[in-house]
Order: sequence, then structure tokens, then C-alpha cells
Amino acid sequence: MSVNEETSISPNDVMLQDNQLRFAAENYLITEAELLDTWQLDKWFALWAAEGDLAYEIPSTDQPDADPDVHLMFVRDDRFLLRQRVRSTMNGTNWAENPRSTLRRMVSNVTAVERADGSFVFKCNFVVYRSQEAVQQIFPGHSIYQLERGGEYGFVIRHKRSVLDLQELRPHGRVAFIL
Amino acid sequence: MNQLPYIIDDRETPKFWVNRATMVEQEILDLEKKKIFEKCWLYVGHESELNKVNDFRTRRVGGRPIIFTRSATDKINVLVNVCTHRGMILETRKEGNARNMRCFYHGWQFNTEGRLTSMPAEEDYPAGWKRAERCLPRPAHAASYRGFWFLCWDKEQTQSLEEYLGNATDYIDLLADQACGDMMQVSSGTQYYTMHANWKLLVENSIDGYHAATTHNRFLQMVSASVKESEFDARKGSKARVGVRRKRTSLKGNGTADLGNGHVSIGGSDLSKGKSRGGLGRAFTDSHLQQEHMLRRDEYVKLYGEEWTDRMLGGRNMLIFPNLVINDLGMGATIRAFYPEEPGYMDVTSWEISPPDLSPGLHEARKSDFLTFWGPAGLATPDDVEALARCQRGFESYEIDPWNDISRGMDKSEDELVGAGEVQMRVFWRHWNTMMTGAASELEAEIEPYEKVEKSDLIVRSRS
Ligand code: FES
Ligand SMILES: [Fe+2]
Repeated sequence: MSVNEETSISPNDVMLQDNQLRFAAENYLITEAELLDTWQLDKWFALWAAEGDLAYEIPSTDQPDADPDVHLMFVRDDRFLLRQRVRSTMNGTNWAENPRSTLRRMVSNVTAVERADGSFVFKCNFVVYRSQEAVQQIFPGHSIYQLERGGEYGFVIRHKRSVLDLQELRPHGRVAFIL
Repeated sequence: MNQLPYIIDDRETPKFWVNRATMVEQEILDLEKKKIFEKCWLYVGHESELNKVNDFRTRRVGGRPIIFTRSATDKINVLVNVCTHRGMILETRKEGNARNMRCFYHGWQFNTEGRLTSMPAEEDYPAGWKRAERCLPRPAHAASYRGFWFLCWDKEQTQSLEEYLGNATDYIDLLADQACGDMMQVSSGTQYYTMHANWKLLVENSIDGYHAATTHNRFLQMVSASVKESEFDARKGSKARVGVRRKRTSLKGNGTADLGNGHVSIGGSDLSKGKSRGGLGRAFTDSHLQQEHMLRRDEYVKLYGEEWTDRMLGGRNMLIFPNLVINDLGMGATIRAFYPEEPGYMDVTSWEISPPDLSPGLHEARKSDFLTFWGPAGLATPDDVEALARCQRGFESYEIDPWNDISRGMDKSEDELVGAGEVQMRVFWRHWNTMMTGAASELEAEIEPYEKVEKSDLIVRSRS
């Protein structure tokens, strides 16, 4: 079963969606967006589960439902690689983001469900506007999160997949910030 | 165009300079299309992208739309993706499986061999009109070497693909042999991206052996952190040390090989004898993987002997002139083809290629490790994308200082270099210059041409 199938919301779920949970999810995702846009990546990394496996993924644009062990992705970070991604962006060796671009993302269409095992699935759409010198870029997409209770903000991220709603990464050429 | 030569190949001083106008000016790009992309064999795709009969993939090669198919009769075809009726793009999907492809404009239908199989109101055509004459056109030539398919648009091309590839076939073998007699497998999932830079900058960058220390500092930080992490794991538990050895790969300078026809490679042999992975990359995350890697190596040694195995595992970056790069860093391998849409803008397409029968652990590591370096969101490629775009911006001042300096190592042998040289780029540029000006250089080659390994007694090609 693909991540998408597993986490899509059935008509039943829509009726049963817990408004409070959705409100909490929205707050959470807005906070996350703020941390990413303001380059507070250490704080952002603290949103992730402190122990155990985690995964941050971006599929290739031609395989949005990619299985990481079958398909070539853009990103499939485990804890170690994600920490490296954050660290090198903060220490200035991520040249594509040094000097840092100006980012602003819109997060919307948020849904949130609690699963039988007590974990949560949040989904949202996003648009990131990126400006660097005279270049403006738009990165539309959607994200699927698997979370658990805990942490400073009520939830910790176990798995995040950001899918670019682009058929090719053209003319953008690269995604060197965190989606 | 400024009135200066494309290159200055001065053997006295010595120095090697490249005119930045070659990266900027539209008329030079127009000439390149005519004299290089219309003449050379160009990469189309890998056979393993078409695993089932009637699989097809569409792409642009040398600026023209093509369909790459496996026909119902199990033959690979390279067809022009343009309807022979009145010229619409025939197949509009990127990939798929279909016995017939139908042009939606008026309904002409072609099979995966390019044959016109049906059309509405065929009876209305004149008496002498023949369906058989309206098959999909094909490039002048199409051929493959070990699953790598190429086309050539030039009817006058007299070199077969193998002649054109010259000594580069050895370097393709170093990758293809990793499948132990099977066919290497390109995974599905394609990285379609761009660089806002002249295409030749990506040529240079792909065989630039010394930009990593500065440009890919980020990646190298990851590599050393991964070594520490694996050493830490080893201390904590009973795991064997799985770290990266400091000197894993023998590099005489670059290990440059001039493969003829403008093809060139840099790389080295794995000196660790499998105790760590050759090439470059994240340390194995656990001792299990290290053992699996050793087993895999044993299998290679049995088939190919020690020397070829060490070369296979050493890693290398290769340019097949003009626009195909095959890089194998031991931790993974990428195929990358690119094409200039404008002097300062190219489309880049990258694929991942692996042996089909790796153990699950090695397979997973390979899929993951690829992305630590390559691709538009890896820990290295985006820095190349950025560097090249910034060069292109720099070239806006080319009339002030028109010269790029590619002289490094020119008066030294590779053994004498403290870092890595640039002779591989000079090999490219000299060939480029010859094709563009029609005048072969009278100067002698800077390095001895690579000689193919005599394989018959050294290497057993297949398990069977
Ligand atoms: S152009 Fe294709 S059917 Fe007419
Ligand atoms: Fe690079």
C-alpha cells in the first residue's frame, strides 16, 4: 500500500474528523512552516521524534507515489542524513542556500486523523515562494506526515513526505532548502 | 563573437585557455548543434527501462522528440515521435505500455515498431498511396552497447557505435560487469531538472576531480560524520569497525584516461580489497552490509580477477562525448544526459543504475547513498547547479576577461601533482575545438591514449 492510499481520507473520515485535532494540526503545521521560512532549522529538527527511525522524503516528480526501495527519489533521509542536511545548511556550506533565499510558504487543506495505534496522520497542501536575487520560483506540492504524541508542540514527526506537484523540476533545477 | 580563438593551447608557456564566448553566444550554440549534436552518437536510454514488450518511453534526444520502445517482437526501437500524417507529436505520455499508439489529431495509429497499423477512412486515399510508406521515421542510426542505446542523426556517419565509443567501452564494461552477466537495471523514477548554465560547464564539472573539497564540503562533512558514527556504533556494540579507510582509492593525479573521440574518464582502483567501499560515500551503516559487500566482491573476483574487480569498485567519472556522463562512485552510479536549450540553459536528465541481483541490504543502501550525492536535492548536485549558474552569470563580463584557465597540471605528469589536474578537460576541449573548426590539432596528445585491457583470458563475462 502506498503512503498515499494509507493516509487518504475516506468520506466517512471526513464526517468524523475531529475539529479539535484538525485545529491542533493546523497550528502545528503553521509553526513548522514558520520555522522553515525563518531558517530556524535546529528548532525545526527538534520537531522530529528524538528516538527511533525517521524518514524525510521527496519523490521524483515522475513517481509521486514512489516506494523508496524501488524508485529513484529526490530525497530519502534517515535521521543521520537529515541531521547532516540541517547542519550543513546552518553552517553555510549549502551553497545553493548561501546567501539564504527568502522563503514564504502557504499551508492549507489540512486534514488530520488519529490511527488505531495512537499515531496521527496529517496532510496539507503547500506552496513555497522562493526568491534569490532576481529569480523567483514557486514550489507547489503536498505533504503527508506521520506523527506521535509528544514534544514541545504536542506532536513529534516520525515520517514526512513532501510531494512536489510538478511534472519536472524545470526550470527550478534544484531544491536545496527543506520542503 | 569576439575575434579571439575558441581555445589557446600553448605548449611552450604552457597554458590552456578557453574563450568564454563559447559559453555565451547564440551563434556558437547554433554551430554546435550543426557540427556536434547533428554528427555525434547521442545517448537515448538504457534497455532496462523497457522491461516488457510494448513498453515505451518518450524523450528528446539532440533536440528532437523520440520514442524508445520494446516492440511486440521484443526488439528495441528508436523512433521519431512525430505522426507521419500532419506532424503532431504522436505519443504524449512520458512512459507506458501499449501495443498501439494513436495520434489523437486524426486517429492514425502506430505500433511500437513504428508501423502505421490503422487509420480512419483509408479507402479515401489515392490508389497508389501505401500505408507501408508512412511508418514512423527513424534516426539515421541506432545501436547499443551492453544495454546503452545511442542514436546518430547524421546519414554520413561512417563510424559504428563501437568505433565511436572507442576505448570508452572498457569503462562502460567496468559498470556493466557489475551485473555479473545479467543486464544492469535502471530504476524507475527519473530526475528531470535543469541548469542555468552552458552545457559545456556540466561537461567540465562532471570530470572535475578537485572541486569537491570546496564545492562539496557539505557532502564531505557528511562522509566524515558517517565514519565517526559507524566507529561510535562499533565501540558501543560488538559490531566490527565499518568505517571508511582514509586512503581507499588510488588516484594518480586523477587517474585520467583519454579514451579517444573526446571521451575521457577519471577514477581509480579500490585499494581496500573490499574492507571498505571504494569510491566515495557514506560509511556502511552496519557490519552486515560490510560483509555483504565483501561477498559481492568475492563474486566479482571469481568472475573477473582481482585487478579488474578493484577497478570496478574504485569508482570513476566518465564523459562520453558530447553530452553523456556515467559516474560510478562505488556507492552508486548515475547516468546523466543533457542538452542545451539556450547558451545559458540546459535540460538535465539523470537516472540511477544498479546490478539487478544485489542483496536487499546492499540494494537499499545503494538507493539511499545515491541521493546523498546526486540529484537536484542531494547533498552535492545542488551545489554544482549553483556553481555553474554563477559561472554563467560571471560570463556576462566575458568581453572584459574572455579567458577561463584550464592549465592546471600541464607541465607535470599525474604522479607529480599534489592535487588533481585538468588534462581531462583539455582532452574534451581539444576534441570540441576540432569538431567546431574542422581543423585537427597538430600538437601531440598530452597524455598517452588509454589502452584496452586484453579481456579474453582475464575476464569471464558471465556466470553461465
Ligand atoms: S497529425 Fe496525426 S493523425 Fe493527423
Ligand atoms: Fe560536483
